[in-house]
Amino acid sequence: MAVNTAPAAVTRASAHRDQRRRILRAIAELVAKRGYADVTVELIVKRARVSYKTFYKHFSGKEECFIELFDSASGSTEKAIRERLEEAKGEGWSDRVVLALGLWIERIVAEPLIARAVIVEAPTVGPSMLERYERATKAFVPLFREGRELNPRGAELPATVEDTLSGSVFWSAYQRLIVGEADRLPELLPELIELVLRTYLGQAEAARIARAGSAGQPTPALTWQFPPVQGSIEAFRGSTGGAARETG
Amino acid sequence: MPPGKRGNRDLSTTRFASATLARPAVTADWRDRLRLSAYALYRRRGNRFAFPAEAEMGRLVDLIDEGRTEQEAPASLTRVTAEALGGAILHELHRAARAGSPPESELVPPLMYMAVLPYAGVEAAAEELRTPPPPT
Repeated sequence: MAVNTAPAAVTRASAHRDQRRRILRAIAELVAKRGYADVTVELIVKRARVSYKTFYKHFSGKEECFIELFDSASGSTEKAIRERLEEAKGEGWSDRVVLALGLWIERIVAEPLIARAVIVEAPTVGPSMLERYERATKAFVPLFREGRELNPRGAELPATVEDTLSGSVFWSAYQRLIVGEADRLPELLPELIELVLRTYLGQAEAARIARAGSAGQPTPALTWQFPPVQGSIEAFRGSTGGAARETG
Repeated sequence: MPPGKRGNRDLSTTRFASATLARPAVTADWRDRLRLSAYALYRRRGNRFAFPAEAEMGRLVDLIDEGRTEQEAPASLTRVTAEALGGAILHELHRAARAGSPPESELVPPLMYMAVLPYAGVEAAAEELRTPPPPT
């Protein structure tokens, strides 16, 4: 009996996970296209090809579903960057900044619809998102702050410098996403790197590293948590202007 | 951008943004105009500014981007820097306005430091930390 139930339990669990992934993918695509306010549970279940009952088995409503999307997308990105930085522990600070910013932008370019939902639309959700959103805009603060040790006047820098720099990176992506130009973000990377490094290393050194660093950026293998609903990405092409790409 | 819902957010702030960002244009100095605008944005806070509107952001970005005409500004700078800084600064102003802290005298000078640094250099940026708020 025990032998027979184990495979069935695995199947149920994987089906449950697959449903959840489809729902999250669906809300991301819908919110990116229509804006959060215009998305309904009805639209979500249709796109995800699940029943209302299944939807409510996973989430209490649209807001909880979107919050899960936000947490998963931002959490998986932060985790990927953390792991990459861990691997690059022996590298210099500026190299790690280049690495982190490059990876962050790569993930946005790989999934512009999820990025748009999370970065552009999340603030329209309401007070429940504000704290999460604030945290996301400050994701790079600890890494940037390490740069103070390289600046002889690092201790004199205003305490909020890193908040502003981390926010700058975030808002740069916001402004490209809102006009459907996520695919242009890699072009902006050198200037963003320079903006961050300048504060700690000075103009000339920041410009030198930005030019060299962005030229040598590897293309990391990208995996997001939400596999696309078959055939759904194509429908959004043009509506957001982003160059959506499907990933496994 | 989906035009429907966001339009309401823009309408609530566009008139405000025009007023606050246009007024400081009477002074020619870029840093003065930027500083006056930053204080004006913070002082005219209210619930309707729950989140920066695109129109408001665009005007602030335009103003920051004028920094490229400063003598010390590196030729490598493009509008990207102003967009990045403008978004972050406006967001910080809104966040502080919502929270009711810190006071403007603590909030705005560091933001001005960051806005001025790429265009006018460290010394000019540091001056901003010592520049008192304009009269209300």
